[in-house]
This record gives sequence, structure tokens and C-alpha cells, in this order.
Amino acid sequence: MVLTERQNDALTELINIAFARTGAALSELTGHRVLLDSPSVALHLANELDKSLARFVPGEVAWIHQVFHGPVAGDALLLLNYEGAVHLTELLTDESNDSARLDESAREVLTEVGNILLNACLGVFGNVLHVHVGFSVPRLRLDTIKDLIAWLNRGRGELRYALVVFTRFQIKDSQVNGYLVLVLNMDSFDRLVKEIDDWIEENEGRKKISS
Amino acid sequence: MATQTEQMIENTRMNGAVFRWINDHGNQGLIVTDEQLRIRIWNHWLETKTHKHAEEIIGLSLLEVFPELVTRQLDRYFRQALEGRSNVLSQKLHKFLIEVPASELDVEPMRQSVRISPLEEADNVIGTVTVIDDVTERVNREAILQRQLAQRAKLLESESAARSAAEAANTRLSNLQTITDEAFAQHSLNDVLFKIVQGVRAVLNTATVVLLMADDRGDLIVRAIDGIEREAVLGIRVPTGTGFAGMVASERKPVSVKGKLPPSPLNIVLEARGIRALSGIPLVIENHVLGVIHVGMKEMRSLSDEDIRFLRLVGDRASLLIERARSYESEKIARAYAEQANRLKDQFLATVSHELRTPLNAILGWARLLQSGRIDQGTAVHALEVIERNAKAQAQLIDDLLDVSRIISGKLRLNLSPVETAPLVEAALDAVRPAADAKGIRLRTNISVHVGPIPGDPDRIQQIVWNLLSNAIKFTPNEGEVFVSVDRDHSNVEITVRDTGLGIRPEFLPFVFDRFRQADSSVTRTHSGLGLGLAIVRHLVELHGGTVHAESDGENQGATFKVCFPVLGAKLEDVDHDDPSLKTDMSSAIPFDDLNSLQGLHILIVDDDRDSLDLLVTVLQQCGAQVVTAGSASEGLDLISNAKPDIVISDIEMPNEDGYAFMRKLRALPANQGGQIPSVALTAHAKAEDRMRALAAGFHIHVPKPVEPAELLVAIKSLRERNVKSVADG
Repeated sequence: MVLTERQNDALTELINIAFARTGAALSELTGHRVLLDSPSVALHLANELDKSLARFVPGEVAWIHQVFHGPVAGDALLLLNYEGAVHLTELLTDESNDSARLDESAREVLTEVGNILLNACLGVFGNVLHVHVGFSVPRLRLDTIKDLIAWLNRGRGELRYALVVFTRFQIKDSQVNGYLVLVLNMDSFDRLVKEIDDWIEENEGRKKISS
Repeated sequence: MATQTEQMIENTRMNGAVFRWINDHGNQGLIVTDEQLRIRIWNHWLETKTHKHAEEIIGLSLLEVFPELVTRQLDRYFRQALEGRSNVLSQKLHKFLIEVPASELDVEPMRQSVRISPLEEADNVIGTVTVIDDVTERVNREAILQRQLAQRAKLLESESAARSAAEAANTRLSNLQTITDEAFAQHSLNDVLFKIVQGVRAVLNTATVVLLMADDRGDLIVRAIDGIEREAVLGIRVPTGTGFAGMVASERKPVSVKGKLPPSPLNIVLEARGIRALSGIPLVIENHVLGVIHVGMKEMRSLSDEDIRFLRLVGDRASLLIERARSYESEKIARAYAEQANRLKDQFLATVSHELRTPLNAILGWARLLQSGRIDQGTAVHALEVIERNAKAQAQLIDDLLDVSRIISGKLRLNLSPVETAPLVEAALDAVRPAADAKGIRLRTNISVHVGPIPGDPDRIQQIVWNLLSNAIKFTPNEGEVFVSVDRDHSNVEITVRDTGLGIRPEFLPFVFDRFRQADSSVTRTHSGLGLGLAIVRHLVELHGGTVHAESDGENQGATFKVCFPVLGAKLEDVDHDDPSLKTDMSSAIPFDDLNSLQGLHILIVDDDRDSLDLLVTVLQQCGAQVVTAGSASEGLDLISNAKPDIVISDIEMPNEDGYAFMRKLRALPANQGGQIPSVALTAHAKAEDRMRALAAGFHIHVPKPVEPAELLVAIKSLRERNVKSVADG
């Protein structure tokens, strides 16, 4: 499955909307100006995800996971490398973490940040694409990429797609890189693509009318 | 049906029991609302913590009961829950959902971790569920742990800082070692200094490094540099206490300056090269500032403490190295001096042996010819003249050597008395005249007779003049001229000896009076002599409180020697010049051919040496004396009582009993047994103290060997006169 250029552009635009919302929410929450940007969106087969993510971090990653359900269902994840995760909590809480260790409070912060980001994305998708999406309570786990991917694909015979979105948090002259990953089964992905096509058409129609 | 209903009732009862259990025992807060966010469940935990009872608030709107949820913008999480989204609220970002004290004792608010989720039934959201966890204790625990971890991290950091400091120290040490080793490998001070500055610049990476050394006056002189061309600053003198180096030297501790450098000739050059900051340390050894090392930087900065420490370490070692190199160099110079002195002595010994052999050859040669008896009368006379001249020359050489040895050992003594110089100069002229005549050299004189007496040893004064004249004649070519004058110049008597001879090269002029020095010391030199004459002259003149100096316009321009003696004060001038006891000058010497001068005199000679005895007997008998001889002291004493001599002459050095012992025994005798007989000591010991010792033993006069017959006759004559006088007085 390959996305057309228009579909890719549309997806990127949707994600940018979600990121803008997330940035606004985090700025409001922390009192610092937080920006999120996403220079690239890529589509992979879920069982080949390790190929694209393995180069991200060799060691442990912190990842926030939420299951979403409804007409479009799947797993949503925010991945941060360990140092990036520690740095992000420091930036958001204004506390320096000399131990360079993610304690429970730090993990809660990450969970909340991931929760906000994932909610925003899935929310935007739901609203814009007119589908209702439900969310599970987010959970944070620390794992290697390999274990994470194995866990994602556990006991699933079906072919699934992963939308991988490079994500960069910019706070106080610092930046922390991570990945937003949406894993969808074929049905959900078909549905998403269809909804995106509809949205493009609708948007272009609106543009035609307005022009 | 009944069963179904019973089942439902049973389920409901079970659910109710489970709910009640959760409500009563849960250690979390549980809030359940309906779609209008009206409170439906408020559990026991919340009742206890908030002191709000369920029956009071159930049915009320959550946001009305807790309006701060709206002001804190937390209401959106409930609305999102109503839209189907779950949210977590971290304690770090929100602290708490509902503000309650952490405990009854603690006024701090309880830290809460919160999950707000939709309450769904068959895909429809019918309300919200909020779970609140009390994480205060965990937060406190984490804070402690954080602190501990931070401390450990700090410890690790300081450990690693300590490690890197140790590593830096190690590096410094090895840098220092390299600099020291490289400098140590050098022997010349200059090379040592340059290795030091190069090493310092390589390690500290500064624009310039300058090493200055203090001279005797304390001025600092640039001796080594790196970072600037040497010609620009090498040798620049920074006067004591001025400039930056002077500051460092006087402070005796590390000093740094930035911006305008203290004015000094060196700093003008450094500033022109863009140097804007200097740091320096003194080089101190045993509390004495040897010099200063300073480094220059183009940036406005000071050296770090670490670098200063390093520089000090370098300075400490540099001081030791400089001391070592200096002592090595002074040792080298001392060695060179010693070698030069040795060379001079070797040359001198070679000259001595040559000079001593030359007259011997003539003496031995002519003596053999005489022994052969195959020569005619005329030749025999010539042979004897030659032998005499050479023997005298050799005696003179030995005298010179003895004089020098006395000069070196500081034992040369003068027998001072008021003397007129003119007769002494005349006598010396007489002595050299034959030599001058032989070379056709004209002797011109201008001698003022009454220039006044000087306190002098007449023998030595004459020796001085004789040496200068011999020297002049020696170095003046045939048909040349030697001019001698004696003049009064204010309070001095000035004796001038000028020749038209070889002259003296300007470079040799300062050494002309040095011992063992001859301008031409090569084996092919054409002029004989030991080269001691002028050294003896200077020493004798100085012993007299006078001065001597040489002048020459250069080679073949002749030379002038001027001797000045201070004139004796008026008191001494009154001394009776006719006192026979003072008449030791040659002007009163009787000529050797005065054959009857000792007529009728009985003389006893005591000497163990047969040849000496024979010579003396011959001389004295020729003058008309009656002579008896004794080969030892005891024999002499025996003879005295029988022979009743008028005068006793005794050698000093004799086996068994020496001359002193002999004289003491003689003087112990009563006058009628010869205890008062006038006596002459003959000795090769010619030093003043020997004369004193002889006089102390009871001798009247001391005549040094080799005996000059005329001198002996003068002595004997003066003793006879004394004897006559004392007899007359008696």
C-alpha cells in the first residue's frame, strides 16, 4: 500500500493541526512556549517497523501507548529515547534531573504528555474525518525497540500498517526528538485512506466554492 | 423467570456488595459522575480526606462543588471524558485534582495522580470515572532519592573532576619532566635557557616566553626567548625594579598584568608584537633572585592558577638547572685558567732548564780545555773570563729564581735604610757596561746626584735598575742606545730607562710585568733569559712603596720603563750617611785588586766544603791575611784558643753542628778566650730571616753565598774597623 502524494500531503496537514493543538496544550500546561513540528510522515508495514526505528535508538526507549477503538482502531504510540525522555520531563517541569533517571513522577509526566499528543492526533482524525474514536487510558513502558515491536505484533496474524511521524518538541531553545506511530489494521487503514480522500474532496470543493 | 429475576436480584446484590466494599476499603479516591457531571459516587476515602460526606454532595454538580476545577482549566478533562477520551493528570504538572492536606499533621497539599476516563455503556458515554491516587509519600521518597542520586552524581562528578585533575597533574608532570630533561641534556647555559623557554611555550601555548637573568647589579637581561625573533630582544637590559620583570623580581612571587604593560625597553617590543597580558614568576635559589620567566598573551587574560603552578614548578627546576650550568661554566673557565697557568709553568721550566744549561756548557767546555793543559796563556785567560761570566750569569739566574720563589711565598724581605739612588744607578750602569759595549750600545745618562734619599734596600734598588738595564740592552739591537735618568719629581724619585729596541706590542703591554711571561715564548726565540726580571722589578718596586710602568709605541719603537720611589721624609734625611754600619752599598766596595787590604789580619774559616774553603783561603791570602781553616764546628772551637784569630768566618750549613751552634758556643766563651771575636756568617740562606737568625746567634755580619770576594772583603774590612774602634773605645 502506498499513499498518493495528495494523501500524504493531507495526512501531514492533519498531523500538523494535531501538533499545533498539542503544542498549545503543553504551553498552557507548563507556562513555556512549546512547539511541535513534523518534517516527515512515512508508511511502513508494522512487522518491518524495526527497520525504520532501529536507527533511532540502540538502547531503551520510553513509549506511551494508547489503544483507540471505533471505526478506525489500532495502537497509538509516542516513542522517545531514554535521554530524550529525561530531558523532556526536565524541560516541561523546570526541574533538573541530576540522576538522569525516569522515576515514577517523571513517567507520569511523560504519560500525560503522550496522552495529550495522542489524544490531539486521534481527536483531530475523529473530528475531521467524522469518525468517533474512543481511547484507552495511556500507559508508559520502557523497552528496547525490538521488544516494543514484538509486543505490538504479538499474536497478530493480520497485516498491519504503521504510520510513522517524526516528532520534534522545541522548548526553551532545546529540542527533543521522538516518533509518533499509529498502527492500524488493513480495514482501519482503508477506512482512514477513504476518509482522507473524502476530506480532500470536501476541502477542494470548499476551496472551489470559496474561490 | 423466577430464576432469572432471582439471578438479577442476586447480581445486583453482589454488585452492591462489591461496590460497598470498594467504597469502604479502597485507598484511592473514586468519583463517578453522570453526563451532566453530577456526582453519583463519592467514596469513603474522599469523605475522609475532604470531610465532605457523600449524602451532602451526591447529586450536586462536580464543577459547582469544586469551582477551582474550572479556574484551573481542569474541567476540560471531564468534558473530554464525556467525548470518550481518557486522560491522565501527573502530579508534577498538576499537583492535585482536589486540594486536601497530605495528612492531619501536614499542611502541604496531598500530591495526586489522577485518571479521568469516560464511563461507557454499549459504546455510549454515560458519565465519567475519576480515580485519584495519593502519591505524596512516593513524591517525598522520590525527592529524597533524587537528592541522593544527585549527591552521588555530584560525587561522581567531583571524583571524575579529581581524576581529570590528577590526569592534568600527570600531564603537567610529564611536560615538566620533558622540559627538564631536554634542558638537562644541555651543558651550555645558553642552550639550557633556550630549551626552557621553548618547553614552556609548547606546553602553555602562549604567544611569547622570555627568560631574563639578573646581573651583578640586579639589572635583568633578556637571555632567552621564544615566540619573537631573537635579534629583537636578546640582550635587552631591564634596569633593577623597572618594567614587568623588575616587578616580578622585587615581588618575588607570580605576577600578572593585563592591558597596558609597565614601561620598559622590553615591553615596547612586546606591545608592538600585540602582547596585551603578561604573567611571570621569579627564579629564586637560596633566597636569591636569579632571574624571571614571563609569558605573554595576545588576549586580555591571565594564566590559570593551574598554569601558574606549572610555571612555578618549571621555575624551581630551571633555577637549579641554571645554577648547575653556571657552575659548569665557571668550572670550565677555572679549568682553562689552571691549564693556561700550567702551560706557562711548563714553558717556564723549559726555559729555566735551557737557561741553566747554556752557561754550564760554556763553563764545562772551557774547564775541560783548561784541564787538558793544551792551551796557550792568552786562551787560558779568555777561558777563565768566559767561565767567570757564565758562572755569574748562572748565579744571577738562581738569584732570580729564588727571588721569584720568595715573591710567590711572600717571604721576600727588605732591609730598609735611607739610600741615595744615584750611586746605585751608577753601580748598576757599571755592571752592565761590558754587555752594552759588547753590542756597541751607547749608554746615555742624565743622573741628578742629589735627589734625596729614599727608604730602600740598596741591594734591591740596584737589582731593580740592573734588571731594567739588562732588559733594555738585551732587547736593543747592536749600535742602539739606552738612556738612563734619575730625577726628582715632586715627592718622588723617578728612574727612567729608555731604549731604542724591539718595543712592546700593545697587546702584550698589560702582561709585561707578569711572571713566566715572555712576549715570545717559542723555542726559536732569540733572546735568552727566564722572563723573570720584570716580574721581580715590579714586585721589588712595589715592596718599596713605588710604582713601575712600561710604555711603548709598538714594535721596533723602543720601550720606556719608569720607576718612581717616594722620597724619604726630612727626619730620615738627617741620618748620618757616613755611619759605617749603614755602608752596605757598593760605592764603598774596595776593589778586589787591593792586595794588601787585609795585611796582618788573622782569620779563621770554618767550612765543611773543601772547595769553598780553598777558594776563600786563596782570596783572603791574596789580600795579605793569615788564614787557618777548620772542617767542622768542634775543630773551629779547638783552634780559637790556640790561633786567637782576629776574625772568624763560618759556614752555617754543616753536618753534626751547624754554624749557629758553633757561634753560640763561641759567644759562651769569656772574652779573653775569644768569646768576642768579630764573625762573618756565610750561607746560601739569603733570606732576611736567615740574616736575623745569624745575627741572633752572635754573628756580626751575614754574607750570602755564592760569595763575591769583593763583598767578603768589604765585610771583613768593616769588621776590622769595628774591632779597632771597639778596642779604641775600650
